[in-house]
Amino acid sequence: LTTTTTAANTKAMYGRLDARQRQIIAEKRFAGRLTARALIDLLGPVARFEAAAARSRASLLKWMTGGIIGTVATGFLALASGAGVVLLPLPLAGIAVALGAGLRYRRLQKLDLSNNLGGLVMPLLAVLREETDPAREVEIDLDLRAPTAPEKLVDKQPLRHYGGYEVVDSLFRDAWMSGSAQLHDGARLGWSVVDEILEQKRTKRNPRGKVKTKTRYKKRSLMKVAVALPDASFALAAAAPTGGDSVGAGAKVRVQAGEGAQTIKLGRVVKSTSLEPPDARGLIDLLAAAYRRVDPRQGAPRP
Amino acid sequence: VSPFIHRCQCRRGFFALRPCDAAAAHTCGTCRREVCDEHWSPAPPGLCLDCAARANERYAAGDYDPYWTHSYRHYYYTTTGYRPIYYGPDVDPYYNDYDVRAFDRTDAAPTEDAIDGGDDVDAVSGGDGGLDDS
Repeated sequence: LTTTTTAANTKAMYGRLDARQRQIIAEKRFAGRLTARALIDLLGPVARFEAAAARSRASLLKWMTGGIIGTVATGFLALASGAGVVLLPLPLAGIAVALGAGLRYRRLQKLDLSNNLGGLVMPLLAVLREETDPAREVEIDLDLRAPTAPEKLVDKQPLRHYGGYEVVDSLFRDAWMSGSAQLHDGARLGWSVVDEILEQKRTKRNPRGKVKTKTRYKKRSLMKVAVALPDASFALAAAAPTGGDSVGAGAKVRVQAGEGAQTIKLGRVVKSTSLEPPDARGLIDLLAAAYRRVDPRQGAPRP
Repeated sequence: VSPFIHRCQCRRGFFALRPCDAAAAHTCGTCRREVCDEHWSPAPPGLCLDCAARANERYAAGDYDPYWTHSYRHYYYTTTGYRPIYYGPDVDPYYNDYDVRAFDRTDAAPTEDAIDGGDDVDAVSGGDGGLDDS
């Protein structure tokens, strides 16, 4: 019943999406210029649908497994008890449950988007809504296909043997977000996030002849931010911030003087062993690190 | 502008705070500041978003609405020690807790380069941001 309710809610959520939002889900890509508020209005329901669909898929997977186990168990019982005709509806019901859940799962799987949308894009847009003028547009380019989609494969190592396993390493490069915006204080912001994913598939045949495959991931998320802060409003701080910078020891920072602005470029790598999105805090810390390196200039015109 | 129209005393922004200045329709039950509709907390009621954020220890997950942004902003300032830049005629004592950086510094500063070598950070894409070296 819970699954039916969850799946029905997910379907209802999909029904409430407009044509443009459905197009984003179908294409799994979005590139455009809109105000931060309009981007949140456009992508927020898509992110909420994706989260609900993920919950539905997890639930349907359980029902599919339960249906298969139920079919086998009740089928065995029907045969063993000799009352096959009487008990026949039970394995048939199991088949129906497994099939129904499987078909729904497959439909929802086609609509699957990268978790990066809800995990990182939406918090970033919420911060940009505060930082940009309501009429000023933000440019954003999103690739919401799965990080290990075949199109993102850049290298596949030949099969090797290691510790009784057959091992295949694949490297994926997922340049899934870039964007730019002008902030209310006159600063120009550009950012990008690129994930490099090493997928390792280890296959082993156990003594009973059953083949088992384990998949492991190592991910490096390369986050880059450049903030051009106008000289009229900001001056470089006399000393680089010490302590509490939050960007980590491995972060790279570079400051360049340009025409009428200081451009602060920052980059960092966030490592993980799953495909889950990096915490939005990583990107927000980079932006904050740029602002930590300047002070408001005395007597500057207020934006 | 009519002197009878009160202006919202909350601050917009995340890295740099600026006056909201929208027409205020409410008064916060805690800080007694005038507050516009956007900065009025739906839950708990009767508070501005700033006071609602301060009343909770952690930011709320969810819809990334203004309530989320204000609670995350408060959480971020208090856990990372970030000092927001502050625009406005006077520093509102309400924001003193965040140790804001108002127009209180001279422009003595190094002019160029490099806190760290960082050759990795040059190519940041992003439309007409024009932030690449080229």
